[in-house]
Amino acid sequence: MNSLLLLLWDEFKGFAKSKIMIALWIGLPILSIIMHFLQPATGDFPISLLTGIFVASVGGLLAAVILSSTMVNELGANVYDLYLIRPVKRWQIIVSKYIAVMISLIIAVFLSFAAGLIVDSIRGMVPTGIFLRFVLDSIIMAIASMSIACAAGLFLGLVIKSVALAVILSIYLGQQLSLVAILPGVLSPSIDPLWFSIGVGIAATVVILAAGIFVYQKKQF
Amino acid sequence: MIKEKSEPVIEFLNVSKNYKEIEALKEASFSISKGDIFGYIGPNGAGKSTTLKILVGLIRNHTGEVKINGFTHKENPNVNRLIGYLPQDVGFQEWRTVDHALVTFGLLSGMVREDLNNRIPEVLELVGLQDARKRKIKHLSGGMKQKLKLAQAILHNPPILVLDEPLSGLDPTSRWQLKNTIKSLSQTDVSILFSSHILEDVEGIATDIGIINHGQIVKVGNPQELRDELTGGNVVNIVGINLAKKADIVRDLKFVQEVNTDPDDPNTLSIVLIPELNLDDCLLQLMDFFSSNEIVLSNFNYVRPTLEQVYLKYVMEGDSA
Repeated sequence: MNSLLLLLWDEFKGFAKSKIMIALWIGLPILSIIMHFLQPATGDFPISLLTGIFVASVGGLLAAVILSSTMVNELGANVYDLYLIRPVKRWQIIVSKYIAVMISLIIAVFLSFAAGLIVDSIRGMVPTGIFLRFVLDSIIMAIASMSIACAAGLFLGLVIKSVALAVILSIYLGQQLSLVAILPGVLSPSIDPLWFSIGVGIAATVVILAAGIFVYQKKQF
Repeated sequence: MIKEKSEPVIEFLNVSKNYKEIEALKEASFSISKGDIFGYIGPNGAGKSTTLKILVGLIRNHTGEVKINGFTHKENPNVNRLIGYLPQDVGFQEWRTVDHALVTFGLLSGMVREDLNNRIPEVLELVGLQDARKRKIKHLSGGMKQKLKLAQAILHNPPILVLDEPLSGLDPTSRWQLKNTIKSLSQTDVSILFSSHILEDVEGIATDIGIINHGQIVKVGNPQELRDELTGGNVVNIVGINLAKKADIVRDLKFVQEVNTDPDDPNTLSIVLIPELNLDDCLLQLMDFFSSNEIVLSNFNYVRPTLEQVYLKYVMEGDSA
């Protein structure tokens, strides 16, 4: 099996088994539904909108923190030495970790969305037509911004040696950078917010990951 | 017995490595042949791990040349498949079970699932971890993790093993078992380079020894050569009444290189035998000489210099330089 696919599958299994991902997949959708009922101002909103965006934004931040702290810990413990002495490339380690987290997050977002849809259908408020499109667009934009946050978290994990510092910076920078994908599209009427966020999300993610790979390639053991 | 050397499988030629101003390795050279166990000893921070990391390709920007089976890492990136590496400071992703970790490392090394299913129990039995196969790594003791490190190194049956402090953190029984495992692997023609800062670890199993200090390999040789070099030959200490008076006639014996007396003790003689001659024959002739000349000895002691003396000599020489 290709090393990248093997690493990706392995990392995904690792994240899937971790308590944090279980919390993300089960805990956050439940929390977002509870929050919906606790917040009367959103009473007329479909729950699926709230749950999807809530999980994407909170989950993105959480994933950035997980990625940065995992990288700091695993690099500090020289975990990857055992991979790199085998036919594994450094970039494969980084890319597999990033993709595994993104897959876990996207699953979390769609689980929440599905949970929200179930509650919406019970309430007879299933979003349709333009409203459904709005819900899905918002979720995609949130995924684009969390992609940047995750890449930033990974990059910080590669360049910082302290877990605490990496976590603090990934919360702060992750939040700031993820806005880059959303704000211009929301604020400027001449920009299509969906395509802008997708384009910027992909471009920024690629640039940050490439910078991370460059740093890791130069790393001395 | 010193066996005849075959073609080297590892060649380390004038390799240097600097970390900014620190010279971690200076013009290091040695070679290891098939089935050899090369004990690489030196104090902490001497450059042992740097050497090993260069050898397995983890450190790439160095000068000099490292060849494995005649190829450098650049010439043939697949040479790493020939190596099993046990790093000194390495952790595992602790959410994995022992079995899962070995499956991953095996697949990454190019093994197929069917082979792994047969090989993993074999390897776990060899390192004494057969009962821990389904256990999560985070629940293993330090010694068990060390055994797991060895298991992943030998999993894909590599012809070369590079072991960085393999015996550290092990209890005496496990140390003994692991030394036996290393010995038995070398008997199957696996070439082994293993580092330690504890001489006892390499004594008795290393066919060759390299001593490194301050990034410089100060001595390479087989254990007997190193001992001989320290003493300049085999030494016999004898005790008997007024032996100092017999020093001249002992000195005339054809297999004796040198006789030393102790000015404070007329009853002792230290006899250095000619190193090129067969030791057993020399000792027999020496005993014959004393009995035929009716010289009564109260003590006859063949002095075998320890590797520790050799090690200390080279390391302390380097420290005082």
